[in-house]
Amino acid sequence: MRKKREEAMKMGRKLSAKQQIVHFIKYFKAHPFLYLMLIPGFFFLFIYKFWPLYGLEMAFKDYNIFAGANPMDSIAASDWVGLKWFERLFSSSQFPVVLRNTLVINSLKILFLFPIPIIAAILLNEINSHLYKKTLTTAIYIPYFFSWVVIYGIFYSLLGSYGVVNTILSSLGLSRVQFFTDQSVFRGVLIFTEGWKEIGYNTIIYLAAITTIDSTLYEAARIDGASKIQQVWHITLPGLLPTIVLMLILKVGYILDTGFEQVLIFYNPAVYDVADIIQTYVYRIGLGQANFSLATALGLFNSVVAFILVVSANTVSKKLLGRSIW
Amino acid sequence: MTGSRIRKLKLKSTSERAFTIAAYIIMTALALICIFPCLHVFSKSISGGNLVATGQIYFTPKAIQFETMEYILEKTEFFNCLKNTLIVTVLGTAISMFTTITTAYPLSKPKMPGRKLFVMLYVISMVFFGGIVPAYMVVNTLGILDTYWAIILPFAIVQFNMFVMKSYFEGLPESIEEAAQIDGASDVQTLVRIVIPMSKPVIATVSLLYAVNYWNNYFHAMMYTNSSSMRTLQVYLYDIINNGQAFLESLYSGSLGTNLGNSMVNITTDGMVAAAVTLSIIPIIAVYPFVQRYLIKGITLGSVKG
Amino acid sequence: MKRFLLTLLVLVCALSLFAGGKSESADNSGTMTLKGPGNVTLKRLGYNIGFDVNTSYMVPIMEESTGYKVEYFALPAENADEKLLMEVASGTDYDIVNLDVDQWRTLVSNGALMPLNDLLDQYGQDILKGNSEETWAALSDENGVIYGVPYMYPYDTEVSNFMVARMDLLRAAGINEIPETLDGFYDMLVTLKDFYGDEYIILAGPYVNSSNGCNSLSFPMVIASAFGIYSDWMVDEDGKVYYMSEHENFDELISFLAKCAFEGLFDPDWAANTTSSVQEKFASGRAIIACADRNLAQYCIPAMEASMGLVNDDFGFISALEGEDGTCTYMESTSIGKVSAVLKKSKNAADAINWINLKVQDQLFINIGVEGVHFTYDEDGSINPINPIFADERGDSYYYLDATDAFAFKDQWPSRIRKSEAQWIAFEATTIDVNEERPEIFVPNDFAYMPASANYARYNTTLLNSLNDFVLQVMAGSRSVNDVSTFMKDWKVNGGEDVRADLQAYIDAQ
Repeated sequence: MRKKREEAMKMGRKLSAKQQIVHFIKYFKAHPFLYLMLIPGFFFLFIYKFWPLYGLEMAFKDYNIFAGANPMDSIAASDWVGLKWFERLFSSSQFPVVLRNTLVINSLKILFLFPIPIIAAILLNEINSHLYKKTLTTAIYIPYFFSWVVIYGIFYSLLGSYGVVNTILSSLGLSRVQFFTDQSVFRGVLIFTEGWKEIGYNTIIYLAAITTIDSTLYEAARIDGASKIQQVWHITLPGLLPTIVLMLILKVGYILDTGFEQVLIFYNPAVYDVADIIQTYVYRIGLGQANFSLATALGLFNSVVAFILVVSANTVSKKLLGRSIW
Repeated sequence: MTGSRIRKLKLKSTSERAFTIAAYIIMTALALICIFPCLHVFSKSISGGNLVATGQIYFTPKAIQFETMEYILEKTEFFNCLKNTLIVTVLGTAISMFTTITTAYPLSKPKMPGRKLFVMLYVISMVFFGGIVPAYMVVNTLGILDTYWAIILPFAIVQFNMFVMKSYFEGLPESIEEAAQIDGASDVQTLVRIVIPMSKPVIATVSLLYAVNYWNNYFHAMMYTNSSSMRTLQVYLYDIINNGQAFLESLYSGSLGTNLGNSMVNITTDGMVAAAVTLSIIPIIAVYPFVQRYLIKGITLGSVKG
Repeated sequence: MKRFLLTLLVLVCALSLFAGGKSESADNSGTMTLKGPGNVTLKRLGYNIGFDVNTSYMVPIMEESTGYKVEYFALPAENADEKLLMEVASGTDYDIVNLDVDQWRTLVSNGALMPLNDLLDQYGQDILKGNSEETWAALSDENGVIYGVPYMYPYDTEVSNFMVARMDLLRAAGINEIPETLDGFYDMLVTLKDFYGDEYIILAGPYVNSSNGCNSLSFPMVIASAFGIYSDWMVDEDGKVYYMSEHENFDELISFLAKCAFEGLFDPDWAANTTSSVQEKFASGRAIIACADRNLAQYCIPAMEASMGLVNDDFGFISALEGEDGTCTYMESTSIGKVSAVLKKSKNAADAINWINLKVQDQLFINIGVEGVHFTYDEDGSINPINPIFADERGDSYYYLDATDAFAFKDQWPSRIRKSEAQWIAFEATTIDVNEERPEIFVPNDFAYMPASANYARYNTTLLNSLNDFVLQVMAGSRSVNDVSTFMKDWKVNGGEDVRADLQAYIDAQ
């Protein structure tokens, strides 16, 4: 009970407005630079992130870019259409399919790909030779520099019906696998290629985080006779926890939002039923129309879902792990 | 007593050795998976044109030639685009690191009043996006269209990177900072003299994330610039990749038609793309080992904190 | 939390006031007077291309010819339409924009382009004379106001999509003749499959090249020809406009395609293939037959001759196939390829038109070159390019074409095909052969000269794409012939009837 009240005091929740202001002034006087430091960041944040939010209005309008003197004026000058674009989005017979695909593909990606960089970072840390470690990190990091178009080109020549992998399979007397047109394996291709591209990038974030862990803890554990696995479990992982939580919350927030470019480039009509996600679907129904309103409506929907997910994930993590990103 | 302790140590060392061996094997395998497809691109970029065109290049170059590379470097705008990308990356990373450190540091102070509001603003701005029209109009209104600033400033602070930095700062022991403040250091002095030197790994990491962001960024360069002298490497790459046909038209027409045997026979669209991709990756990979020094220092740094 | 959101809301409102307060007024004075070459730098926006548009060898050639300094810009490879609209709507200062017909229609229907009648009368006589009445009607609104100058596709009866086959492999399987009927074609595929099994891809496709006319379909038009199907929109004898999926033989066509795909006669990756993957499959010798156009021939044949020791005789070409009852239809390639327009806010409109007109006057020099240096005249008067100098000094000219003297260009253009022997072989075996042997198969393109229609600009790309996707899904087995009705339902939702109404109104007015 007392503890709780203390916590509340700390968070500044239960304090009255007046007390808060007093507290703020006191803190501000003691640490004016802390607030001044925030200015550059906020300056750019407001210019580039908040100012354009005005455009969200387009989601409820039939935006005609030529309606006003310039595209910004046109937003105000366009006609209100209420929820027309959302209806178009949700009422389509395709919507349940694409929503399901979006959730399934992105959940599978988190499930399979989220742990790998953590493991990779821990394992890399075990490698004693600096040169070899450098080589390995560079190797897993290179794929990040390929754009999806290039990656598609590479994997198409590897996995196509007459590509390298199928040539090997058929020379072993096995039947060919249609990686790009078989609905049962296509999601695997998406997950694998995403992993291939992104693992190195995420690994270096964990690598940096491992350096914050106090090395004396390991020495103590070794003296206590803890095995390597136990050390990882009891020292490394807890040490990485803040970063893991942060990364997971951010990933969950983007669950509706990732993979657009990848899917757009990789998929084809034969696998629409398992690979068409919300954004690729909207892209196709709006193709050639430069339909800014529909795109904005979709973006707004994604943002709201992402916001709810981030806030809930943060709440869950605060409850269960006592960690929070704010 | 001593005997059992020694035995224990020996036991540990076998288990540790097993773990280390496993680490070597697994990471080598992962690295091979990552590197093999890259070899494919590299091999294509220096292999004979006919072999590339007929899809006979897998993971090793054959009939090695450097004409494609030479063509890219001498006959196309590669260097000008590289220059633009370098300017954007260096300038951009510097600006971004400044704003990111100055933002992440105050926000990592748990007791700072207003912190939650500020963090929330960053979270909101991370998930909500006004669309490309207002974004374009902001750049237009600021009068920086078709300049380096148009490409750099939208990335002046990337929320994700700020959170990574903030999370690291939060993990630092408070005691050292507090000691410094008791000695009369201001917040700026604490940041510059104590926190930043202790944060080399995360600074290296986040700089790298930013540099890669700028290096790989296609969208801003594509949207906010229009003169051909402002093209960045990514725009250049996309132009090449998306215009295979046009390349054939302008490259192949004479040389492969009635006048076979011309030196251009080694240059193919696939080869061009592969060479351009390879050349565009080399500079940033060359920088990587220097950054990595700070990432790998790892545990040795932990003892300093004590 | 509530407080945060409230703050945010207030902030957004404040910003929107700030943003809304700014407006610009257009200054149009002085556009109608000619400043003349050397006194003005024109700005021209074109489509995306792989090279730097300002450093091409074509730039000095055109400057020498016209005297005008021109700065060139290109749209991006992605989001090109969005960027075009944003730049135009925010008052960019390009003088000439080179557009595809859909982009032009969108800009016309939004009133972003400058009326050109007076300017053309004064400065553009050669452009005016170089194009037909029909073409000008297509570029005008109902009051006869012209909003663009055309680049007409320079060949009226081209078989632009065909198939290329490896004759050496065909002969080995006992096939010596290229089939001309659909049945013969099917028998050939089956024979090849029986003979080669899984060793080769029998037929690789599709070959989708959107650069000329109605080639952007995901199945071979030379197969559709046997079913009397030749375009996405067609007109029956009674003058009624209908969509391809409403054609009486559409079910049969897609059943045929599905049957071939199911029996393994088509590449299993058909739905995933791109132009370049089809090219690569054929060039690498993994496919016996490939859907193709003359660009593919130009690219693959020399490479294969060099790497596999083949000769010209080892390549056969399959053009429009005939149905059982002798049905064979192929659409003429007559169409407006590109439109160049002047933006309403341009301050150099007179010079823009003057520049284009100067380029039309010097069309031969700019696009083909100098007699004796870049080309010679054959006995029959046709132009024969001298390679490789022709390709080296004129190869890129196509990118800088605005309007042409379309009548003259028809005679000049075929020489551009002859810059490549392989391309010319393919062209002879398909287009020239059909024109000589059975010109009756060509069906006119009913909509080649249709003026701007807002609905068409807005919906047709989506319709065409969903048609393509549907056929591919049928071929992949995830949809069947029974789903045509579902397809038509979606088609209506996506604006099919609106487009039909516009097209019908145009046909009725003819």
